[in-house]
Amino acid sequence: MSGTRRAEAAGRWPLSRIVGAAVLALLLFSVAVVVVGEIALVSAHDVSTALDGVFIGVAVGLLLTVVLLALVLRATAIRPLRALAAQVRRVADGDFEHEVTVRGAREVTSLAADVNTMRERILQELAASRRANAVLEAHAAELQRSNAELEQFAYVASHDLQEPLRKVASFSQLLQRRYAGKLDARADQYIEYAVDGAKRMQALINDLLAYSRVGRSAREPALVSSDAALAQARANLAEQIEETGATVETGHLPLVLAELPLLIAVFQNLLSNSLKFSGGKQPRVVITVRRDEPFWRFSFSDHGIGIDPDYAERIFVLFQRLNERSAYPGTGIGLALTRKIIEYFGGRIWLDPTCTEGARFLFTLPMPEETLAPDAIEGPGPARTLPDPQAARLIEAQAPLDPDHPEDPEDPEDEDPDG
Amino acid sequence: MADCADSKVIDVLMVDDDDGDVLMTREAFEYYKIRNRLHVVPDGELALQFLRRSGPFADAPRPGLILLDVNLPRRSGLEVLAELKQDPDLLVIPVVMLTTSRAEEDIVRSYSLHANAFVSKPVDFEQFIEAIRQIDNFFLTLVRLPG
Repeated sequence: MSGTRRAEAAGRWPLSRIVGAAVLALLLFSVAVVVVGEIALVSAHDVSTALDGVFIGVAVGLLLTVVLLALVLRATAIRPLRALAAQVRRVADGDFEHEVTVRGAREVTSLAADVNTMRERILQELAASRRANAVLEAHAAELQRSNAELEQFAYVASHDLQEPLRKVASFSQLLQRRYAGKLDARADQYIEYAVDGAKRMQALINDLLAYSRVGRSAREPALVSSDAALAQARANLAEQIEETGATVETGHLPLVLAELPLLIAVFQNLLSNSLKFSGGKQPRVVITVRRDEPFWRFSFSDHGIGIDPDYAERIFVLFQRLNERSAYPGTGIGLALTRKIIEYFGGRIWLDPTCTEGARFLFTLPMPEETLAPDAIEGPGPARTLPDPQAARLIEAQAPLDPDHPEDPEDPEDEDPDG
Repeated sequence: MADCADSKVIDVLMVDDDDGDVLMTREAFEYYKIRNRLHVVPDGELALQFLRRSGPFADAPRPGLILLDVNLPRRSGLEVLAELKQDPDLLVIPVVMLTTSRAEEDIVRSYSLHANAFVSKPVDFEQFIEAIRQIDNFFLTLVRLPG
Protein backbone atom coordinates (compact mmCIF):
# COMPACT_ATOMS: atom_id res chain seq x y z
CA MET A 1 0.00 0.00 0.00
CA SER A 2 2.60 2.48 1.14
CA GLY A 3 4.78 1.46 -1.81
CA THR A 4 2.09 2.38 -4.25
CA ARG A 5 1.51 5.65 -2.51
CA ARG A 6 5.20 6.38 -2.67
CA ALA A 7 5.25 5.60 -6.39
CA GLU A 8 2.29 7.89 -6.90
CA ALA A 9 4.02 10.56 -4.87
CA ALA A 10 7.09 10.07 -7.04
CA GLY A 11 4.80 10.26 -10.03
CA ARG A 12 3.69 13.69 -8.93
CA TRP A 13 7.27 14.91 -8.57
CA PRO A 14 8.29 17.39 -11.23
CA LEU A 15 11.15 16.42 -13.49
CA SER A 16 13.39 19.13 -12.06
CA ARG A 17 13.07 17.66 -8.57
CA ILE A 18 13.83 14.18 -9.82
CA VAL A 19 16.95 15.38 -11.63
CA GLY A 20 17.90 17.51 -8.61
CA ALA A 21 17.55 14.52 -6.30
CA ALA A 22 19.75 12.44 -8.57
CA VAL A 23 22.43 15.18 -8.75
CA LEU A 24 22.23 15.59 -4.94
CA ALA A 25 22.70 11.85 -4.56
CA LEU A 26 25.76 12.07 -6.82
CA LEU A 27 27.19 14.96 -4.80
CA LEU A 28 26.62 13.18 -1.48
CA PHE A 29 28.18 10.05 -2.86
CA SER A 30 31.19 11.97 -4.18
CA VAL A 31 31.62 13.74 -0.84
CA ALA A 32 31.36 10.42 0.94
CA VAL A 33 33.93 8.87 -1.39
CA VAL A 34 36.28 11.82 -0.95
CA VAL A 35 35.91 11.74 2.84
CA VAL A 36 36.47 8.00 2.92
CA GLY A 37 39.45 8.48 0.54
CA GLU A 38 40.98 11.20 2.76
CA ILE A 39 40.69 8.94 5.81
CA ALA A 40 42.15 6.07 3.85
CA LEU A 41 44.93 8.33 2.54
CA VAL A 42 45.86 9.57 6.01
CA SER A 43 46.03 6.13 7.47
CA ALA A 44 47.45 4.45 4.36
CA HIS A 45 50.94 3.12 3.97
CA ASP A 46 50.68 2.88 0.27
CA VAL A 47 49.46 6.24 -0.99
CA SER A 48 49.09 5.25 -4.64
CA THR A 49 46.92 2.24 -3.78
CA ALA A 50 44.77 4.43 -1.60
CA LEU A 51 44.52 7.04 -4.37
CA ASP A 52 43.57 4.33 -6.80
CA GLY A 53 40.89 3.21 -4.40
CA VAL A 54 39.50 6.77 -4.17
CA PHE A 55 39.49 7.20 -7.92
CA ILE A 56 37.85 3.84 -8.48
CA GLY A 57 35.32 4.70 -5.80
CA VAL A 58 34.54 8.08 -7.45
CA ALA A 59 34.35 6.44 -10.86
CA VAL A 60 32.02 3.70 -9.66
CA GLY A 61 29.92 6.31 -7.87
CA LEU A 62 29.69 8.46 -11.00
CA LEU A 63 28.78 5.49 -13.12
CA LEU A 64 26.16 4.35 -10.65
CA THR A 65 24.70 7.85 -10.47
CA VAL A 66 24.52 8.20 -14.25
CA VAL A 67 22.86 4.80 -14.51
CA LEU A 68 20.51 5.73 -11.71
CA LEU A 69 19.72 9.06 -13.38
CA ALA A 70 19.11 7.33 -16.69
CA LEU A 71 16.84 4.78 -15.08
CA VAL A 72 14.92 7.41 -13.16
CA LEU A 73 14.53 9.62 -16.24
CA ARG A 74 13.46 6.65 -18.27
CA ALA A 75 10.91 5.59 -15.70
CA THR A 76 9.54 9.03 -14.92
CA ALA A 77 9.85 10.91 -18.21
CA ILE A 78 10.75 9.00 -21.36
CA ARG A 79 8.52 5.97 -20.89
CA PRO A 80 5.48 7.96 -19.71
CA LEU A 81 5.98 10.45 -22.59
CA ARG A 82 6.11 7.62 -25.06
CA ALA A 83 2.97 6.07 -23.54
CA LEU A 84 1.30 9.48 -23.54
CA ALA A 85 2.24 10.07 -27.18
CA ALA A 86 0.76 6.70 -28.15
CA GLN A 87 -2.47 7.44 -26.31
CA VAL A 88 -2.71 10.99 -27.65
CA ARG A 89 -2.24 9.60 -31.15
CA ARG A 90 -5.12 7.21 -30.51
CA VAL A 91 -7.32 10.12 -29.42
CA ALA A 92 -6.17 12.20 -32.38
CA ASP A 93 -7.17 9.34 -34.68
CA GLY A 94 -10.73 9.75 -33.49
CA ASP A 95 -11.07 7.57 -30.40
CA PHE A 96 -12.26 10.42 -28.23
CA GLU A 97 -13.71 7.99 -25.68
CA HIS A 98 -10.22 6.77 -24.76
CA GLU A 99 -9.15 8.18 -21.41
CA VAL A 100 -5.48 9.04 -21.31
CA THR A 101 -3.86 7.48 -18.19
CA VAL A 102 -0.17 7.80 -17.63
CA ARG A 103 2.24 7.64 -14.68
CA GLY A 104 5.40 9.65 -14.50
CA ALA A 105 6.78 13.08 -13.75
CA ARG A 106 4.30 15.83 -12.91
CA GLU A 107 4.86 17.50 -16.28
CA VAL A 108 3.81 14.31 -18.02
CA THR A 109 0.76 13.63 -15.83
CA SER A 110 -0.45 17.21 -16.05
CA LEU A 111 -0.01 17.10 -19.81
CA ALA A 112 -2.10 13.91 -19.80
CA ALA A 113 -4.71 15.65 -17.66
CA ASP A 114 -4.82 18.56 -20.12
CA VAL A 115 -5.24 16.16 -23.00
CA ASN A 116 -8.09 14.53 -21.09
CA THR A 117 -9.77 17.87 -20.47
CA MET A 118 -9.45 18.72 -24.15
CA ARG A 119 -10.74 15.28 -25.09
CA GLU A 120 -13.76 15.64 -22.82
CA ARG A 121 -14.53 19.08 -24.20
CA ILE A 122 -14.32 17.72 -27.73
CA LEU A 123 -16.64 14.90 -26.69
CA GLN A 124 -19.13 17.38 -25.29
CA GLU A 125 -18.97 19.58 -28.38
CA LEU A 126 -19.28 16.53 -30.56
CA ALA A 127 -22.30 15.28 -28.65
CA ALA A 128 -23.90 18.72 -28.82
CA SER A 129 -23.25 19.04 -32.53
CA ARG A 130 -24.51 15.50 -33.07
CA ARG A 131 -27.68 16.35 -31.19
CA ALA A 132 -28.12 19.53 -33.20
CA ASN A 133 -27.44 17.63 -36.40
CA ALA A 134 -29.95 14.95 -35.50
CA VAL A 135 -32.59 17.61 -34.82
CA LEU A 136 -31.71 19.33 -38.10
CA GLU A 137 -31.83 16.07 -40.01
CA ALA A 138 -35.16 15.16 -38.46
CA HIS A 139 -36.53 18.57 -39.46
CA ALA A 140 -35.17 18.24 -42.98
CA ALA A 141 -36.66 14.78 -43.34
CA GLU A 142 -39.98 15.99 -41.97
CA LEU A 143 -39.95 18.97 -44.32
CA GLN A 144 -39.08 16.79 -47.27
CA ARG A 145 -41.80 14.33 -46.37
CA SER A 146 -44.45 16.99 -45.91
CA ASN A 147 -43.35 18.72 -49.13
CA ALA A 148 -43.53 15.47 -51.03
CA GLU A 149 -46.91 14.74 -49.51
CA LEU A 150 -48.17 18.19 -50.43
CA GLU A 151 -46.97 17.87 -54.00
CA GLN A 152 -48.42 14.40 -54.23
CA PHE A 153 -51.68 15.75 -52.86
CA ALA A 154 -51.80 18.58 -55.38
CA TYR A 155 -50.94 16.20 -58.19
CA VAL A 156 -53.46 13.52 -57.25
CA ALA A 157 -56.16 16.06 -56.43
CA SER A 158 -55.64 17.76 -59.76
CA HIS A 159 -55.85 14.48 -61.60
CA ASP A 160 -58.82 13.08 -59.72
CA LEU A 161 -60.68 16.39 -59.74
CA GLN A 162 -60.39 16.51 -63.51
CA GLU A 163 -62.71 13.56 -64.03
CA PRO A 164 -65.96 14.79 -62.43
CA LEU A 165 -65.20 18.31 -63.56
CA ARG A 166 -64.85 17.13 -67.12
CA LYS A 167 -68.43 15.90 -66.82
CA VAL A 168 -69.74 19.16 -65.39
CA ALA A 169 -67.94 21.21 -68.02
CA SER A 170 -68.81 18.92 -70.92
CA PHE A 171 -72.48 18.60 -70.16
CA SER A 172 -73.00 22.24 -69.38
CA GLN A 173 -71.28 22.97 -72.70
CA LEU A 174 -73.54 20.44 -74.32
CA LEU A 175 -76.55 22.04 -72.65
CA GLN A 176 -75.47 25.42 -73.97
CA ARG A 177 -74.86 24.10 -77.44
CA ARG A 178 -78.18 22.28 -77.58
CA TYR A 179 -80.56 24.55 -75.71
CA ALA A 180 -79.15 28.06 -75.86
CA GLY A 181 -81.95 30.34 -77.04
CA LYS A 182 -84.57 27.64 -76.64
CA LEU A 183 -85.24 28.32 -72.96
CA ASP A 184 -85.78 31.75 -71.43
CA ALA A 185 -83.06 34.35 -70.97
CA ARG A 186 -82.61 33.46 -67.33
CA ALA A 187 -81.92 29.82 -68.18
CA ASP A 188 -79.35 30.91 -70.74
CA GLN A 189 -77.66 32.98 -68.06
CA TYR A 190 -77.64 30.05 -65.62
CA ILE A 191 -76.08 27.85 -68.23
CA GLU A 192 -73.53 30.50 -69.07
CA TYR A 193 -72.49 30.78 -65.41
CA ALA A 194 -72.24 27.02 -65.11
CA VAL A 195 -70.05 26.78 -68.23
CA ASP A 196 -67.92 29.71 -67.11
CA GLY A 197 -67.48 28.30 -63.61
CA ALA A 198 -66.56 24.87 -64.87
CA LYS A 199 -64.09 26.29 -67.38
CA ARG A 200 -62.48 28.47 -64.74
CA MET A 201 -62.19 25.54 -62.39
CA GLN A 202 -60.57 23.55 -65.15
CA ALA A 203 -58.10 26.37 -65.71
CA LEU A 204 -57.36 26.48 -61.96
CA ILE A 205 -56.84 22.77 -61.76
CA ASN A 206 -54.61 22.75 -64.82
CA ASP A 207 -52.59 25.60 -63.34
CA LEU A 208 -52.35 23.78 -60.03
CA LEU A 209 -51.19 20.72 -61.87
CA ALA A 210 -48.56 22.76 -63.72
CA TYR A 211 -47.49 24.30 -60.41
CA SER A 212 -47.18 20.95 -58.65
CA ARG A 213 -45.25 19.53 -61.60
CA VAL A 214 -42.37 22.00 -61.33
CA GLY A 215 -39.37 20.04 -60.12
CA ARG A 216 -40.99 16.68 -60.64
CA SER A 217 -39.26 15.98 -63.92
CA ALA A 218 -36.20 13.81 -63.71
CA ARG A 219 -34.33 16.17 -66.01
CA GLU A 220 -31.26 17.98 -64.75
CA PRO A 221 -30.99 21.70 -65.45
CA ALA A 222 -28.91 22.12 -68.61
CA LEU A 223 -27.49 24.94 -70.70
CA VAL A 224 -30.48 26.77 -72.05
CA SER A 225 -30.53 29.84 -74.25
CA SER A 226 -32.75 32.47 -72.67
CA ASP A 227 -32.91 34.05 -76.13
CA ALA A 228 -34.59 30.93 -77.43
CA ALA A 229 -36.92 30.77 -74.42
CA LEU A 230 -38.00 34.38 -74.92
CA ALA A 231 -38.46 33.81 -78.65
CA GLN A 232 -40.73 30.84 -77.96
CA ALA A 233 -42.68 32.77 -75.32
CA ARG A 234 -43.18 35.59 -77.85
CA ALA A 235 -44.31 33.09 -80.46
CA ASN A 236 -46.80 31.59 -78.01
CA LEU A 237 -48.21 35.04 -77.33
CA ALA A 238 -47.94 36.25 -80.94
CA GLU A 239 -51.65 36.84 -81.21
CA GLN A 240 -51.89 39.07 -78.12
CA ILE A 241 -48.67 40.87 -79.06
CA GLU A 242 -50.12 41.70 -82.44
CA GLU A 243 -53.51 42.68 -81.01
CA THR A 244 -52.02 45.06 -78.46
CA GLY A 245 -49.24 46.31 -80.72
CA ALA A 246 -46.74 45.52 -77.97
CA THR A 247 -43.01 46.05 -78.42
CA VAL A 248 -40.38 43.94 -76.72
CA GLU A 249 -36.92 45.52 -76.53
CA THR A 250 -34.03 43.27 -75.75
CA GLY A 251 -30.47 42.49 -76.77
CA HIS A 252 -28.87 39.08 -76.80
CA LEU A 253 -29.81 37.15 -73.72
CA PRO A 254 -27.30 34.73 -72.17
CA LEU A 255 -27.15 30.99 -71.64
CA VAL A 256 -28.39 29.93 -68.23
CA LEU A 257 -28.76 26.69 -66.29
CA ALA A 258 -32.44 25.77 -66.56
CA GLU A 259 -35.01 23.63 -68.36
CA LEU A 260 -36.28 25.10 -71.61
CA PRO A 261 -40.05 24.49 -71.16
CA LEU A 262 -39.96 26.01 -67.69
CA LEU A 263 -37.89 28.99 -68.80
CA ILE A 264 -40.36 29.59 -71.63
CA ALA A 265 -43.11 29.59 -68.99
CA VAL A 266 -41.19 32.23 -66.99
CA PHE A 267 -40.91 34.62 -69.95
CA GLN A 268 -44.41 33.85 -71.11
CA ASN A 269 -45.95 34.59 -67.71
CA LEU A 270 -44.08 37.87 -67.31
CA LEU A 271 -44.77 38.91 -70.89
CA SER A 272 -48.43 37.96 -70.63
CA ASN A 273 -48.73 40.07 -67.46
CA SER A 274 -47.20 43.06 -69.21
CA LEU A 275 -49.61 42.69 -72.10
CA LYS A 276 -52.55 42.27 -69.75
CA PHE A 277 -51.76 45.08 -67.34
CA SER A 278 -50.80 47.68 -69.93
CA GLY A 279 -53.49 50.10 -68.74
CA GLY A 280 -54.83 50.67 -72.24
CA LYS A 281 -51.49 51.92 -73.56
CA GLN A 282 -49.46 50.16 -76.17
CA PRO A 283 -47.41 47.73 -74.05
CA ARG A 284 -43.67 48.27 -74.08
CA VAL A 285 -41.47 45.64 -72.47
CA VAL A 286 -37.75 46.09 -71.90
CA ILE A 287 -35.57 43.14 -70.94
CA THR A 288 -31.97 43.67 -69.88
CA VAL A 289 -29.45 41.44 -68.22
CA ARG A 290 -26.28 41.97 -66.22
CA ARG A 291 -23.72 39.90 -64.41
CA ASP A 292 -24.34 39.24 -60.74
CA GLU A 293 -22.01 36.31 -60.33
CA PRO A 294 -22.62 33.45 -60.05
CA PHE A 295 -25.93 34.56 -61.58
CA TRP A 296 -27.28 36.43 -64.54
CA ARG A 297 -29.63 39.08 -63.29
CA PHE A 298 -32.51 39.86 -65.59
CA SER A 299 -34.60 42.99 -65.45
CA PHE A 300 -38.04 42.72 -66.99
CA SER A 301 -40.00 45.95 -67.04
CA ASP A 302 -43.04 47.46 -68.63
CA HIS A 303 -44.84 50.78 -68.63
CA GLY A 304 -48.23 49.44 -67.64
CA ILE A 305 -50.39 50.02 -64.59
CA GLY A 306 -47.60 48.92 -62.24
CA ILE A 307 -47.89 47.20 -58.87
CA ASP A 308 -48.30 48.85 -55.48
CA PRO A 309 -45.07 48.08 -53.53
CA ASP A 310 -47.30 47.03 -50.60
CA TYR A 311 -48.21 43.99 -52.64
CA ALA A 312 -44.64 43.21 -53.72
CA GLU A 313 -44.71 39.85 -51.93
CA ARG A 314 -48.38 39.02 -52.16
CA ILE A 315 -48.33 38.90 -55.95
CA PHE A 316 -46.19 35.76 -55.75
CA VAL A 317 -48.74 33.87 -53.64
CA LEU A 318 -50.65 31.09 -55.38
CA PHE A 319 -54.03 32.22 -56.75
CA GLN A 320 -53.58 35.68 -55.29
CA ARG A 321 -55.10 38.37 -57.49
CA LEU A 322 -55.00 42.13 -57.12
CA ASN A 323 -57.58 43.02 -59.72
CA GLU A 324 -61.17 42.18 -60.50
CA ARG A 325 -61.61 39.17 -62.64
CA SER A 326 -63.94 41.00 -64.98
CA ALA A 327 -61.27 43.61 -65.71
CA TYR A 328 -58.27 41.28 -65.89
CA PRO A 329 -58.99 37.60 -66.48
CA GLY A 330 -56.67 34.94 -65.08
CA THR A 331 -56.33 32.42 -62.31
CA GLY A 332 -53.60 34.21 -60.40
CA ILE A 333 -51.04 31.49 -60.79
CA GLY A 334 -48.60 33.17 -63.20
CA LEU A 335 -46.23 34.81 -60.75
CA ALA A 336 -46.46 32.01 -58.18
CA LEU A 337 -45.49 29.54 -60.89
CA THR A 338 -42.76 31.87 -62.13
CA ARG A 339 -41.28 32.17 -58.66
CA LYS A 340 -41.44 28.42 -58.10
CA ILE A 341 -39.65 27.77 -61.39
CA ILE A 342 -36.94 30.35 -60.77
CA GLU A 343 -36.35 29.14 -57.22
CA TYR A 344 -36.24 25.57 -58.49
CA PHE A 345 -33.32 26.60 -60.69
CA GLY A 346 -31.65 28.25 -57.69
CA GLY A 347 -32.46 31.85 -58.60
CA ARG A 348 -34.70 34.52 -57.08
CA ILE A 349 -37.38 36.83 -58.36
CA TRP A 350 -38.66 40.01 -56.79
CA LEU A 351 -40.51 43.15 -57.67
CA ASP A 352 -38.39 46.28 -57.86
CA PRO A 353 -40.23 48.56 -55.41
CA THR A 354 -38.31 51.63 -56.60
CA CYS A 355 -39.87 51.42 -60.03
CA THR A 356 -42.86 53.74 -60.13
CA GLU A 357 -43.56 53.86 -63.83
CA GLY A 358 -44.93 50.45 -64.70
CA ALA A 359 -43.74 47.24 -63.12
CA ARG A 360 -40.20 45.93 -63.01
CA PHE A 361 -39.36 42.38 -62.06
CA LEU A 362 -35.80 41.39 -61.31
CA PHE A 363 -34.77 37.78 -61.34
CA THR A 364 -31.58 35.77 -61.24
CA LEU A 365 -30.72 32.53 -62.97
CA PRO A 366 -27.54 30.55 -62.40
CA MET A 367 -24.70 31.28 -64.77
CA PRO A 368 -23.15 28.25 -66.44
CA GLU A 369 -19.71 27.51 -65.00
CA GLU A 370 -17.92 28.21 -68.29
CA THR A 371 -19.38 31.73 -68.34
CA LEU A 372 -18.03 32.63 -64.93
CA ALA A 373 -15.10 34.95 -65.46
CA PRO A 374 -11.92 33.54 -63.88
CA ASP A 375 -11.13 36.82 -62.11
CA ALA A 376 -14.55 36.73 -60.53
CA ILE A 377 -13.43 33.72 -58.52
CA GLU A 378 -10.08 35.16 -57.49
CA GLY A 379 -11.39 38.64 -56.82
CA PRO A 380 -12.18 41.64 -58.96
CA GLY A 381 -9.48 42.53 -61.44
CA PRO A 382 -8.97 45.85 -63.17
CA ALA A 383 -10.01 44.53 -66.57
CA ARG A 384 -11.87 41.49 -67.70
CA THR A 385 -10.39 39.43 -70.46
CA LEU A 386 -12.80 37.32 -72.37
CA PRO A 387 -11.02 34.80 -74.56
CA ASP A 388 -14.29 33.17 -75.53
CA PRO A 389 -16.18 35.01 -78.28
CA GLN A 390 -19.43 33.64 -76.91
CA ALA A 391 -18.69 35.09 -73.52
CA ALA A 392 -17.96 38.40 -75.22
CA ARG A 393 -21.32 38.21 -76.91
CA LEU A 394 -22.95 37.51 -73.58
CA ILE A 395 -21.32 40.52 -72.05
CA GLU A 396 -22.66 42.71 -74.83
CA ALA A 397 -26.10 41.89 -73.54
CA GLN A 398 -25.33 44.07 -70.56
CA ALA A 399 -24.97 47.18 -72.63
CA PRO A 400 -27.92 49.57 -72.47
CA LEU A 401 -30.28 48.31 -75.09
CA ASP A 402 -32.12 51.44 -75.90
CA PRO A 403 -29.71 54.06 -77.24
CA ASP A 404 -32.55 56.59 -77.53
CA HIS A 405 -33.19 56.46 -73.82
CA PRO A 406 -29.87 56.73 -72.05
CA GLU A 407 -31.66 57.76 -68.86
CA ASP A 408 -33.97 54.82 -69.11
CA PRO A 409 -35.00 53.40 -65.75
CA GLU A 410 -33.90 49.99 -67.09
CA ASP A 411 -30.30 51.11 -66.81
CA PRO A 412 -28.49 47.86 -66.09
CA GLU A 413 -26.65 49.47 -63.22
CA ASP A 414 -29.85 49.88 -61.25
CA GLU A 415 -29.75 49.14 -57.58
CA ASP A 416 -30.58 45.86 -56.03
CA PRO A 417 -33.38 46.45 -53.53
CA ASP A 418 -31.62 44.12 -51.13
CA GLY A 419 -28.40 46.07 -51.39
CA MET B 1 -61.87 3.47 -102.65
CA ALA B 2 -63.48 6.47 -100.98
CA ASP B 3 -66.88 5.50 -102.31
CA CYS B 4 -66.49 2.06 -100.93
CA ALA B 5 -65.61 3.32 -97.44
CA ASP B 6 -68.32 5.93 -97.47
CA SER B 7 -71.09 3.62 -98.40
CA LYS B 8 -70.31 1.07 -95.76
CA VAL B 9 -71.74 1.43 -92.26
CA ILE B 10 -69.29 0.09 -89.77
CA ASP B 11 -70.02 -1.15 -86.27
CA VAL B 12 -67.98 0.41 -83.47
CA LEU B 13 -67.75 -1.31 -80.10
CA MET B 14 -67.19 0.99 -77.16
CA VAL B 15 -66.14 -0.65 -73.89
CA ASP B 16 -66.67 1.91 -71.15
CA ASP B 17 -68.50 1.93 -67.83
CA ASP B 18 -68.75 5.72 -67.71
CA ASP B 19 -72.26 6.62 -68.88
CA GLY B 20 -71.28 10.25 -69.31
CA ASP B 21 -68.47 9.43 -71.70
CA VAL B 22 -70.71 7.05 -73.59
CA LEU B 23 -73.34 9.76 -73.92
CA MET B 24 -70.74 12.27 -75.09
CA THR B 25 -69.48 9.79 -77.66
CA ARG B 26 -73.05 9.31 -78.89
CA GLU B 27 -73.39 13.10 -79.06
CA ALA B 28 -70.21 13.28 -81.07
CA PHE B 29 -71.48 10.64 -83.49
CA GLU B 30 -74.72 12.56 -83.81
CA TYR B 31 -73.08 15.98 -84.09
CA TYR B 32 -70.66 14.98 -86.82
CA LYS B 33 -73.36 12.87 -88.50
CA ILE B 34 -71.21 9.77 -88.22
CA ARG B 35 -73.30 6.99 -89.71
CA ASN B 36 -71.37 4.19 -88.10
CA ARG B 37 -73.26 2.27 -85.43
CA LEU B 38 -72.07 2.59 -81.84
CA HIS B 39 -72.46 -0.44 -79.57
CA VAL B 40 -71.61 -0.11 -75.93
CA VAL B 41 -70.76 -2.67 -73.27
CA PRO B 42 -69.83 -1.61 -69.72
CA ASP B 43 -67.08 -4.13 -68.88
CA GLY B 44 -64.34 -6.33 -70.28
CA GLU B 45 -66.14 -9.63 -69.74
CA LEU B 46 -69.14 -8.49 -71.79
CA ALA B 47 -66.80 -7.06 -74.42
CA LEU B 48 -65.25 -10.49 -75.01
CA GLN B 49 -68.71 -12.08 -75.10
CA PHE B 50 -69.81 -9.48 -77.66
CA LEU B 51 -66.77 -10.12 -79.83
CA ARG B 52 -67.16 -13.91 -79.61
CA ARG B 53 -70.93 -13.71 -80.05
CA SER B 54 -71.55 -15.74 -76.93
CA GLY B 55 -74.17 -15.33 -74.18
CA PRO B 56 -76.64 -12.53 -74.89
CA PHE B 57 -74.63 -11.40 -77.94
CA ALA B 58 -75.36 -14.29 -80.29
CA ASP B 59 -76.42 -11.87 -83.01
CA ALA B 60 -73.76 -9.23 -82.38
CA PRO B 61 -72.09 -7.81 -85.49
CA ARG B 62 -68.36 -7.97 -85.90
CA PRO B 63 -67.08 -4.46 -85.10
CA GLY B 64 -64.64 -2.65 -87.36
CA LEU B 65 -63.20 -0.67 -84.46
CA ILE B 66 -62.98 -1.09 -80.70
CA LEU B 67 -62.81 1.86 -78.30
CA LEU B 68 -61.46 0.42 -75.06
CA ASP B 69 -61.21 2.14 -71.69
CA VAL B 70 -58.29 1.14 -69.45
CA ASN B 71 -60.13 1.34 -66.16
CA LEU B 72 -62.95 -1.15 -66.36
CA PRO B 73 -64.71 -3.11 -63.65
CA ARG B 74 -63.81 -6.82 -63.31
CA ARG B 75 -61.39 -7.29 -66.21
CA SER B 76 -59.30 -4.25 -66.97
CA GLY B 77 -58.99 -2.81 -70.45
CA LEU B 78 -55.41 -4.04 -70.64
CA GLU B 79 -56.46 -7.63 -69.85
CA VAL B 80 -59.13 -7.45 -72.53
CA LEU B 81 -56.58 -6.01 -74.96
CA ALA B 82 -54.11 -8.83 -74.22
CA GLU B 83 -56.78 -11.44 -74.79
CA LEU B 84 -57.99 -9.84 -78.01
CA LYS B 85 -54.52 -9.71 -79.46
CA GLN B 86 -53.98 -13.40 -78.73
CA ASP B 87 -57.12 -14.39 -80.56
CA PRO B 88 -56.24 -15.01 -84.25
CA ASP B 89 -59.78 -14.11 -85.27
CA LEU B 90 -60.03 -10.85 -83.31
CA LEU B 91 -56.49 -9.50 -83.42
CA VAL B 92 -57.00 -7.75 -86.76
CA ILE B 93 -59.71 -5.45 -85.38
CA PRO B 94 -58.09 -2.08 -84.59
CA VAL B 95 -58.24 -1.18 -80.90
CA VAL B 96 -58.06 2.42 -79.72
CA MET B 97 -57.47 2.83 -76.02
CA LEU B 98 -59.74 5.75 -75.18
CA THR B 99 -59.25 6.52 -71.55
CA THR B 100 -58.94 9.18 -68.89
CA SER B 101 -55.56 7.75 -67.92
CA ARG B 102 -52.50 9.72 -68.88
CA ALA B 103 -50.18 7.45 -66.93
CA GLU B 104 -47.05 6.71 -68.88
CA GLU B 105 -47.08 3.05 -67.86
CA ASP B 106 -50.64 2.59 -69.17
CA ILE B 107 -49.51 4.06 -72.49
CA VAL B 108 -46.43 1.86 -72.68
CA ARG B 109 -48.32 -1.28 -71.65
CA SER B 110 -51.10 -0.58 -74.14
CA TYR B 111 -48.69 -0.28 -77.04
CA SER B 112 -46.64 -3.28 -75.96
CA LEU B 113 -49.92 -5.25 -76.02
CA HIS B 114 -50.36 -4.04 -79.62
CA ALA B 115 -53.02 -1.40 -79.13
CA ASN B 116 -53.40 0.55 -82.39
CA ALA B 117 -53.64 3.90 -80.65
CA PHE B 118 -53.79 5.42 -77.20
CA VAL B 119 -55.96 8.51 -76.80
CA SER B 120 -56.51 10.42 -73.55
CA LYS B 121 -60.09 11.60 -73.33
CA PRO B 122 -59.81 15.34 -73.79
CA VAL B 123 -61.04 17.38 -70.87
CA ASP B 124 -62.82 19.93 -73.02
CA PHE B 125 -66.10 18.85 -74.59
CA GLU B 126 -65.34 20.37 -77.99
CA GLN B 127 -62.01 18.59 -78.04
CA PHE B 128 -63.62 15.37 -76.90
CA ILE B 129 -66.09 15.19 -79.75
CA GLU B 130 -63.37 16.32 -82.13
CA ALA B 131 -61.20 13.41 -80.92
CA ILE B 132 -64.05 10.97 -81.55
CA ARG B 133 -64.52 12.41 -85.03
CA GLN B 134 -60.83 12.09 -85.80
CA ILE B 135 -60.60 8.52 -84.53
CA ASP B 136 -63.63 7.58 -86.58
CA ASN B 137 -62.31 9.37 -89.62
CA PHE B 138 -58.85 7.87 -89.39
CA PHE B 139 -59.73 4.25 -88.71
CA LEU B 140 -63.00 3.96 -90.56
CA THR B 141 -62.56 6.27 -93.54
CA LEU B 142 -58.92 7.02 -94.17
CA VAL B 143 -57.13 3.75 -93.59
CA ARG B 144 -57.72 0.49 -95.37
CA LEU B 145 -58.37 -2.40 -93.04
CA PRO B 146 -58.39 -6.09 -93.83
CA GLY B 147 -61.66 -7.79 -94.58
